[in-house]
Amino acid sequence: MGNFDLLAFAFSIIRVMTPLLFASMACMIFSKGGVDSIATEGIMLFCSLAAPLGSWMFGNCWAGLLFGIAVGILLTCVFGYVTLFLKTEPVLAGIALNVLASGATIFIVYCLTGEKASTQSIASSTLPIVDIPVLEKIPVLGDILSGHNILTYLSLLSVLVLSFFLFKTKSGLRMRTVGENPDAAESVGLSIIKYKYMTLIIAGTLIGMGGAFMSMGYVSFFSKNMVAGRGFIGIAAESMGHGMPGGILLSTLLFSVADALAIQLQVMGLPPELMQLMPYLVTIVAIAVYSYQREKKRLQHA
Amino acid sequence: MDSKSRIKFEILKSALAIGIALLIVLITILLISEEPWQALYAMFIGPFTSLRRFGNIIESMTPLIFTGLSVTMLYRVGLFNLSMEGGFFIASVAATASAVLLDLPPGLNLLAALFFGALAGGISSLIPGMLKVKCNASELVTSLMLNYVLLYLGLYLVVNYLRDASMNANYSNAFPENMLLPRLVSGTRINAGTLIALLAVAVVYILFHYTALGYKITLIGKNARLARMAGINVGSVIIISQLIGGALAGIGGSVELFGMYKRFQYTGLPGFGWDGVLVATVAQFKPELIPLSAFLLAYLRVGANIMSMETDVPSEIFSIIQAVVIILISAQAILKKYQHRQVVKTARQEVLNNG
Amino acid sequence: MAQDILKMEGITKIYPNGVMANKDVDFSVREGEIHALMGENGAGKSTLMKILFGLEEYDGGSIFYQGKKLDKAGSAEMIELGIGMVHQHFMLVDSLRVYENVILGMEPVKGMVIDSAAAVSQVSEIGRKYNLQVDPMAKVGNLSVGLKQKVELLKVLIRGAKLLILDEPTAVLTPQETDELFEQLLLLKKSNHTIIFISHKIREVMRICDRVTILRGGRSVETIEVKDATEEEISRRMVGRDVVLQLDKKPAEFKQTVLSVKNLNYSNQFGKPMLRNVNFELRSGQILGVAGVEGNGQNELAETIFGLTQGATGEVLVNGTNMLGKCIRSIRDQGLSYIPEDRMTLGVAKDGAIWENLIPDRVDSPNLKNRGFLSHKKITALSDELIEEFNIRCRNKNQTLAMLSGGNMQKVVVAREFSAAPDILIANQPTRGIDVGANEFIWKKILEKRDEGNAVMLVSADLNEVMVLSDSILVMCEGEVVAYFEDSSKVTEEELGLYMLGLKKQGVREVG
Repeated sequence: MGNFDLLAFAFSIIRVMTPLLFASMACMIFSKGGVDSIATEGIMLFCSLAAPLGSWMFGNCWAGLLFGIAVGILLTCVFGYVTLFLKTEPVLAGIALNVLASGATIFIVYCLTGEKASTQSIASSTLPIVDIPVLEKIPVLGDILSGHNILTYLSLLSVLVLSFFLFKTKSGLRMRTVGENPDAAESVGLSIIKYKYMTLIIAGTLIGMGGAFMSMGYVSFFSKNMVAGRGFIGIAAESMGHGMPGGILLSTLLFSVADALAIQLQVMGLPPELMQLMPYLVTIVAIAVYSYQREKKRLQHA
Repeated sequence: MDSKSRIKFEILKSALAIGIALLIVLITILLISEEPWQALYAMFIGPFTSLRRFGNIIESMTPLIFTGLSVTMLYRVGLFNLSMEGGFFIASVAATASAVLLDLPPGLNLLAALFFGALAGGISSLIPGMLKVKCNASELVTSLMLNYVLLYLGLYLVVNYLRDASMNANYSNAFPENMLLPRLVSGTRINAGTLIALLAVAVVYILFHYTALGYKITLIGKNARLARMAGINVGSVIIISQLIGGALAGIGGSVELFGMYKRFQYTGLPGFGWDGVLVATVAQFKPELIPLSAFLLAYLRVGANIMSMETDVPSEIFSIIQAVVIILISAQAILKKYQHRQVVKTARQEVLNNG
Repeated sequence: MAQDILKMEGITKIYPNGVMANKDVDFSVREGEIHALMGENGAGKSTLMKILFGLEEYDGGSIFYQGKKLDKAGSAEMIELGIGMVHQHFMLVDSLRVYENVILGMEPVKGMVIDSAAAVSQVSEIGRKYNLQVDPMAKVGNLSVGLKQKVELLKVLIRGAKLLILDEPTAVLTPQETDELFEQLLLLKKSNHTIIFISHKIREVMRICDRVTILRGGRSVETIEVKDATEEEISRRMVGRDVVLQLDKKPAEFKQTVLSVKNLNYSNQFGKPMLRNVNFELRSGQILGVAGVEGNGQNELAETIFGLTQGATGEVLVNGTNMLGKCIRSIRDQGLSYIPEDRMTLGVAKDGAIWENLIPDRVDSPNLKNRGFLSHKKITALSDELIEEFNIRCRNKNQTLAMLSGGNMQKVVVAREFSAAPDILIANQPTRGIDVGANEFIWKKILEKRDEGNAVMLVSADLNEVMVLSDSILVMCEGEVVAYFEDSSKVTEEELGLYMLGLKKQGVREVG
C-alpha cells in the first residue's frame, strides 16, 4: 500500500462527489415539492451536452454553464408538464426521457460534428478552478479543500442555501406544503402550479450545474452516456438521506468514498469491474438496512 | 364506459401518439437532412425492400417480446421494478457460462443454458421484489442500482472466467455449434428464438387470463389492500410475479445470445429492458398485444438503421419516437374530454333507464 | 331580524359520473346565526358547501354573499371575502408545526426569513381570543383529532373569516371534545361570526343551532327555526316518511356461541390504546350491534377480529379456536366474512371489472375452475347470479366498478361477502354513504342472514341503524365495552346515548 496518497484520495472524493451532490440536491427538491425525480438521469445527460455546446456557440465558458442550466430548467418543466398536466405515469415518462437523452444527445453530436462518440472536435472551455485564499496555505486541509472547480464549491454551497430556503423562507414552507399535502395548500388559497414550477426550476438549475460539471469540469468535452447513472444515484441518496439535506450530503459522501476508493483500489491492481460495482452495492445495502429498520420500528409501534 | 368504447378510445389514443411521434420525426428529418425524401423512404419503406431486411425486423422483435412480457409481468402487480435491464444482461452471462463451462450433451446443453439464464434473470428481479416486500425499500431505487451491479458483475465474470484469450476484445469463448438456435428462413437470421418468444406470449396470456395466480397479480396491482382483505397472501404473490418477470427477461437474454451470436460480446447493458418498457406501454400491459407492439418497434428501429446507412440521418432519431410514444400513450389526460363526454353520456343514459 | 349574509339560489350540480348531487337547491343564512345543514349521507350537503367555497364548479344557479353576486370564484377569493371552511378530512401538513400550518400563505417575514417568533405570537393570540388552546410549536402529526380540528379553526379565524363552514365537525370527536367545540362555536357566535354547521345528528343541531335547512336526495326540503321544531319533525323531513325504516323482523332465536372475544387489547401505530380489555360473545341467529361515537374502537374491534391489525393481545375464539394473529385466509376458512368500513380503500378495486371484484376471496376454489384453470364460464355464471340476486345496477359484469354509484359499489361488496356463505358476518358501517334504496336492501339481506341461523356483528355509527337491526347491543366508549343489552328493544336511544358519551357505564357483571 506504499503508493497510497491519502491527500490525493481525499481530494478525489470531493471531486467525484460534485455531480452526485447536484443530482441528489435536485432529487431532494423534487421530493420536497412533490415531483418525481426519475428523469434526473436523462436531463443531466442533456445538460452535459448543452454546456460545452453553449460554450462553443457563445465562445465563453460562463455562457456554456448558463446554457446548460437553461436546458436543465426547460427539460424539468417539460417533465413537469407531462406528469402534472398530461398525467403520464412519472416513472414511464422518466424512462422515456432517459432513453431520449441517450439517443438524442448522440443524434445532436452527430449532426454537429459528424462523430457519435464525443464533442472533442469542437472547441469548448472548462470552468475555472478556484484556489481559496488563506485556506490553500493551510497544510492538509488546503490540499484537500482548495483548488477545486468552481462548481464543486457551488455544489457544497447549494446544500446550505437549499436548507435555508426550504426551512426558513416562506416560499420553502409553501413548496413543502404543496409537495406533502396539496389539499392543505389549496385550502388556504395557495397556487399549487406556481410552487410546482418553482420546484422544477430549482431542480433544473441544480441538474444543469451537475451536467455542466461533467463536461466542463470533470473533463473538457461531452462523451456519450457520460452521466452513467449519477442521476439514479441522486435518487438513491435522497431516499437514503431521509429527505434531509444533512443526511443526503452524508449519503452522497458515502457513495463518493466508495467510488473514490474503487478507483484507488483499481489503480492498486484489484479487479476494476468488482471495484466499479462496489458503490452501487453499498447503496443497495444501505437502503435495505435503513428501510428494514424503519419498517421494524413501524411494526413495533403497531 | 364499457369495454367496447374503451377499446375504441385506447386505439384512438395509441394512433394519435404514434402519429405525433412520426410527425416530429418527419419535421426533424426535413430540418437536418440534405436528402429528406430518400431518408423517409429508407426509414419507412426500406425495411420491406428485401427479405433480409424484413428478416431483420423479425430478429429484432424477438428480444423485445421477451422484455415487453417481462415489464408487463413486473408492472402489473403494481411495482416499478426496472431490473429487467440488468437481468437480460446477467442472464446472457449465465447462459454463456453454462454453454462454455459445462460440457453437456447436445439439446441438454441448450436447455441448461436457458435454465441458468432464466434463473439469473429471475434472481435479479427477485432482489428488489424481496427488498420491497420484506423491508418496504423502494424497488425503483434498488433496481436502478442493481442494474449497475449486474453490469459490472457480468463484465467481471466474462473478463476473468469466460474470455477467449485469442480475441482482441472481451469476448467469450465460442459456443458449441450445436447450441446455436436453428435458422428458420434462409437468407435471414430469423431463428427458433422467435417461436420461443411467441410461446412465451401464449404462456403469459394463459397465466393472466386462466390462472388464479394471474388474477391475483392483476388484482394486487389494482388494490393490494382489497387483495389482502380477501385472504390473498400479497407478499408471496408479489415475489412470485417478480421472479417470473425476471425469468422472462432472462430467457430473452439467453435466446438472443444463441439465436444471433456465436459468442458473448456485450460490453455494456444492451438496452433491451428499457425498450421493453416501450413495448409494454404500447401494448397497454396486455400480453396478447406484445408481439404487435414489438413488431412495430422493431420495424421502426430497422427502418432507422437503414436510413442511417443510406442517408445522412443517424439512427438515434429513433429515440425520439420511443420517448414521445411512451409519454403520450401513458398520458391519462389526453383525450380526457372525449372520454368524459362518453362517461357522462353513458351515465345519463343509465339514470334515464333506471328511473 | 338579521340580514341574509349568504344566499344560494337554484344550485344544480351534476358530477362527471352522472350523479346529480344538487337539484335546484335554495339555501340562505342570516348574519350571526348558527345554521345547520342537515340530511342523510349522500343528501348533497358536502357538495353544496364545496360549491360555496369554490372547490366544485356548479351547473346552474347563483350565489350571493353580502348582497353581491359571486361569479364562480375559487377558494382564494372566498378566503378573501371572509368565508372559511373546516373540512371533514383535515387539510393539514403533518410534518409541519402548528404555527406553520396556521400561518401558511400569510407568513410574517423579517427580511427573507419567516419571522417565527411573530408567527407563534399571532397564533397564540388568536388562540387566546377564541379560547382555542393548542401549543403552536407542536408537530401536527402528533396531535389528537380534536386538537387538529382546533388548528383548522385557527387557520380559518386568523384569516379573518366571518362566515365559517364546518363539515361534520363532530363525526370524529369524543363527547368531551364535542362539548368543547360547541362552547367555542357559541363564543364565535357571540363575536358576530356566522356558522354553517353540517351534520346528520339531530340532537347536536337542537343543542346549538338557530335554524336548520334540510336536504334530501339533493333537493332542499325546508328551512325551519330550531326552537319551533321537535326532533321527530326534523327527522321526518330528513328521511321523507313518517317513521324511520321499519323492518318486518321476526323474533330472534339465539343458538350456540360461535364467536367469543376475551380480554382483547390493541394499541394503534401511534401507541394509543384503541381496545381495552374487550369481552363479548356472539351467537348464531343473533345480530349484535356495536354502537359508539366514531373513533371509540369499534372499527379497530372489527378489524382485529378479522385479522387486519397487528400486535393485539387476548383471544378471538371462533368455534373454540383462537384465531387472533392468524392469517386472513384461515380466518375466512373458519367461516368469517367482512364488509369493510371504507369501501374505496379496502372493499373494492375501482379500476377492476365487477366480476373481478366479486371473486377475490374464492379465486382458488375449485368451483371457479376447470382442470386447474380459471373457467370464465363459471365466473360469468357466478357474477350474473350475484348481480341478479343483489340487484346490482350495471350494464354487465365487465363494467368497471368506478362507473357505479356508491350504493351499487357497496352492493358488490355485500354480494361478495354474503355469498361467501359466512357463519359469522362482520358488517362494518355497511350502509354508509349510500342511497335509501340500497340501504333498505342491505338491511333486508342482513336480516335474511340472521334468519338463516348465522351470526352478524354490526358496527355502525348510525344509531338508528343499530336500533332497527340489532337483537342485542353493545356500546363502546374509549375502547371499552361500557354497556351490553341482551334485548335491544329494552333500551332507548336516549339511554344508549348516555353510554356512548361516557356519562354512564355498566358494572363488570352486567357487561360480561
